[in-house]
Amino acid sequence: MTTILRRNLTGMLLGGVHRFWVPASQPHIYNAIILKKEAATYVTRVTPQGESSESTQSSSSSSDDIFNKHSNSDKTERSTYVEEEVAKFRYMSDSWWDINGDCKPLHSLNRLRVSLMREGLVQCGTAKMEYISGPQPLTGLKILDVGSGGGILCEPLARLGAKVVGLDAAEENVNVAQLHAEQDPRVQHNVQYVCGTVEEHAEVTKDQYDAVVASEVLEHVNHPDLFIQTCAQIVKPGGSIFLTTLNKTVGAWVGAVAIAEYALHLLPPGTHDWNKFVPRQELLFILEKNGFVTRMVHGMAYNPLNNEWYWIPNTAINYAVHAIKES
Amino acid sequence: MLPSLGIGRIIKSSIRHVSRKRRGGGGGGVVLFSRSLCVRTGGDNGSDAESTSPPPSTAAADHYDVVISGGGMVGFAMASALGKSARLSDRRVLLLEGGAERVWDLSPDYSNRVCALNPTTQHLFTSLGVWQHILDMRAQPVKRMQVWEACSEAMITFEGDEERPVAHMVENDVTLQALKSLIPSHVQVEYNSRVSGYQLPQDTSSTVTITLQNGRTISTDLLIGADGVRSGVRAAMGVQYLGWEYDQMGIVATLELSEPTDNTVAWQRFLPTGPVALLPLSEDKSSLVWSTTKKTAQHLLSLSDEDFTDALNRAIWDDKPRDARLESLHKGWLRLLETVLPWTNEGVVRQLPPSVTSVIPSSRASFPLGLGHAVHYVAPRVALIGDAAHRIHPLAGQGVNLGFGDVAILLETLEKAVLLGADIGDERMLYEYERGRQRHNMATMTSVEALYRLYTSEAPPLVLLRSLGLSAVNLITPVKERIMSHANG
Repeated sequence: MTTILRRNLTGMLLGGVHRFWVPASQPHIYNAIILKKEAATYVTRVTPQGESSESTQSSSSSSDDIFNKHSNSDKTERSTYVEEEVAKFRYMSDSWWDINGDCKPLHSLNRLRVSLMREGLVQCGTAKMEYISGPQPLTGLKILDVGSGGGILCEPLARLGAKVVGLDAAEENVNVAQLHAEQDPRVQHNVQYVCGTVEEHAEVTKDQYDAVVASEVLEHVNHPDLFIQTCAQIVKPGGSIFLTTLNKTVGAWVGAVAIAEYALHLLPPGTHDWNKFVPRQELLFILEKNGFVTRMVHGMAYNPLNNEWYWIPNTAINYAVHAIKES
Repeated sequence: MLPSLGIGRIIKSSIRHVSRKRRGGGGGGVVLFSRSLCVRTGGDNGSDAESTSPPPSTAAADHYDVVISGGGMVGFAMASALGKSARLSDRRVLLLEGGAERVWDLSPDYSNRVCALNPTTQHLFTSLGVWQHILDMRAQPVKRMQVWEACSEAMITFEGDEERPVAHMVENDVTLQALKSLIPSHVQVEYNSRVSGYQLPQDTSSTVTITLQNGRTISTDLLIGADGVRSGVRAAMGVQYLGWEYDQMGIVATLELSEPTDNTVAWQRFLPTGPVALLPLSEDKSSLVWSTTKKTAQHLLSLSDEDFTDALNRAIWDDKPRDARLESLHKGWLRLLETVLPWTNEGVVRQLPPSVTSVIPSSRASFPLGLGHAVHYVAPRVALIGDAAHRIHPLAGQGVNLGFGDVAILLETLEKAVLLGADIGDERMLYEYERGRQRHNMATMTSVEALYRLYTSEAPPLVLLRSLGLSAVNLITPVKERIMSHANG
């Protein structure tokens, strides 16, 4: 009842105010996904017929479906990545685990995003009752981290007991993440890194994950609606999607681009393109359109002086969303 | 019966040095099994090494998730806290104690080593399930504290009540025994394990390596230094340690009182040579903590029991020659306070301390007094707790309570780390413990040090100042409550 009410209200509020993406109006194969999360860039676009994908595949194998390698034939038709885009992040693969390096804010963001996911999964009843007050509250859950980079978010989720798949388009990142995971037995057995795009992954894993997370990814995506639509195929009915991204506001340009990249050099200049930022209401609408019910939207703020993130009510710059796929 | 060779080996080695044996089939055991299978390497199987899940770099060593160095009250409290925590229930915890295991039974004679456990400590022990065991053995509630001095009439009292006493006097042996006997079975305790060296990592990418004097090496994700004032862990951290020795000794003894009374008041009198405190143990026995100059202490220790008792009674009852002008100023101040704060006057009654008839033979002992504070409590994969991190004058009875406070906050920090999916040795998490504890411990130490300095002086202006201040604080309940709530953590 409440759900229906909320959906209708959202629809009314959004109607006519925001421009919609209508994926159906575009040739399907043009629906590009650019996932430039942390360092990885995924671009799905038309490729010359028969050209094989550059995307590499994870060396690891498992009998489990979700760990299965993507078959080349699935990818060749519409997936490749833009080497120029990826190249600028390849150099970063060394610095993922330098907690005082370029990825410093991503490390400290874990405090918020891990809490959000843990609490979200516990409160919506996805986490299994028998584990929630124990040492590994997310035991028995399958989580996909889209754009996992060096595995900064995958590792804590794995320590919490979840079986995590880290999906990244850059082989360098997958390798770094894999090597780092091997340092900790608590992580090693629960995490699997896969090189590929979300679209490829969706073809082998329908309705499989208890949760999909795309943290700091959406602002690098060319067509967020297609991205969400793809994620919707991957999540189990009743499962969760967690997103953290940047709002499309003047404040976000000042804070995330002008100050963070150019003034303070917290991130390499050029990391973010304001045009790709997603307005909050638009994202909520896309989620709704793809069968998600939004449970929580919250603003986040970063203090570069003490390298800490805080939850704030204001969603003008960074914000986080938790939504649940309707059963 | 044994699910795997790995567990069998652990049990075998447990029997060798350890008082407790590891559960065979529990959840922890299963984890152990799978992990030991996956990382077991060749190595020295013949020695008492049991290898489970070491990171590749230290594959040959025993690996534990947490190692606590030092089996004192604070070390055992930490081990108990880690063992009881649901969030840390899958961690392998090892406590290393250099000394031999002591068989202890509650004897009718009181030990001369006693601590006042404050309500925060009581709360921690209740949550660890050891508090009732302490009460069942022996503990005396302190319902009131009276503090006064030799150079003036000023005094202050702190009142508790039946349900919430100010503190409990508990013998150290009782506390230790309660913690030891109720330690969860998956926490391993090894006695006679002297450490010859700690090798600490620069960051969390490698682990701590501990070398024992018997040649064995152990690796761990988190080393907790609970190894006391001369901490080896602190030395290995190379952390700056600020402190000094006082020109004072503390004398402890068990005292016989002249007649059985309710005896639930803790008495402390400041003398220019240092404070003397009578702390209740039972109806007719009290514990003495007398801090005094090294010279006086040597003299007091050399006296016969009778002469010592006389000296003690003089210290409690005799007044120093007093300045008449100070006396009248202080009286005027009290009248003024009573006029300004008429409602606070009730209940502040001066009581007379009990008189001591004798000192229990051979219960006298002495220990040096000092102050010390580590500039950092933590480093990657290391944390200091208790006296290893801070040392304080016993005049406020805070020393071990600060240590138990460290245990509570470090546990909280580690549980938080687990919930965030962080490595428990991650220094970014550990800094949170350091920040929280240093703020509290520094404030306590500064106040205690200020009191110490203020009361070891006989200069009339200082005597006047402290008398006026003490009397005012005694009448202003909110200020008193603030002091109590800080002392209680």
